[in-house]
Amino acid sequence: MSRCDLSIMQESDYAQVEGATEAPALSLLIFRKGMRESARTLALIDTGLDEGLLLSKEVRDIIFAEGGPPDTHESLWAGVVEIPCEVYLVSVRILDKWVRTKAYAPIYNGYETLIGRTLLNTTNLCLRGPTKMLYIAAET
Amino acid sequence: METEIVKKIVSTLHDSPKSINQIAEAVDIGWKTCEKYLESLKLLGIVEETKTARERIFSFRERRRGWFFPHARRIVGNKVERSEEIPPESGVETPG
Repeated sequence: MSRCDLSIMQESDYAQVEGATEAPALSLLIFRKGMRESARTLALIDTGLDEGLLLSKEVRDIIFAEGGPPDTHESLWAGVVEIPCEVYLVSVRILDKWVRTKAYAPIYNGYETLIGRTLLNTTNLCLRGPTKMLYIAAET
Repeated sequence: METEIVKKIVSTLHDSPKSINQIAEAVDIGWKTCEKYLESLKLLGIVEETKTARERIFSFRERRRGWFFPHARRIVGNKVERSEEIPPESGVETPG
């Protein structure tokens, strides 16, 4: 492929991550039925996450407080490590579209909000590591 | 169960399915001890067993919904803010 025919719609810097090198992150709006307003947060791009979204404790607490108890419970697996999660059905705004997805909230604290492949596969992303820039593009 | 033995068993099964003899040899434990660990790991759903005419083969049980980045890494200064923007009544997509 010799050229890119995508048009950049949004760009953002890589995020500083505690104890690690910079990482690409997207700003998301997350909404669940029953909430008065959406929650806006940065989410680390995680192409290894099979599902759509992993919620930080902070986001989970807002969703729980305003939207009520989780819709169900499931576990995520990282190798042999089981991570029990609450599961919330949410809508996520990426760029200019809202997408419905399951959001996993680990019962253990300390996780950042992560955006996984189920959602990433709905967008055109361009990662420019040397300049630490992330671009979201639309097909022209 | 000893954690180190469990780790070794799971690690050796990650490479390929193996018989109890092969696992016991790789982990350096006795056959009977190995069988007890495997039975426990099977009950926990971590390994699965296939019986052949001559031996019992154990393998690591593949799972759905995995990911490679389990470490707790936080974005510096990431604060959750509120937005009045909410999804429209219709027009929310469902990923294929």
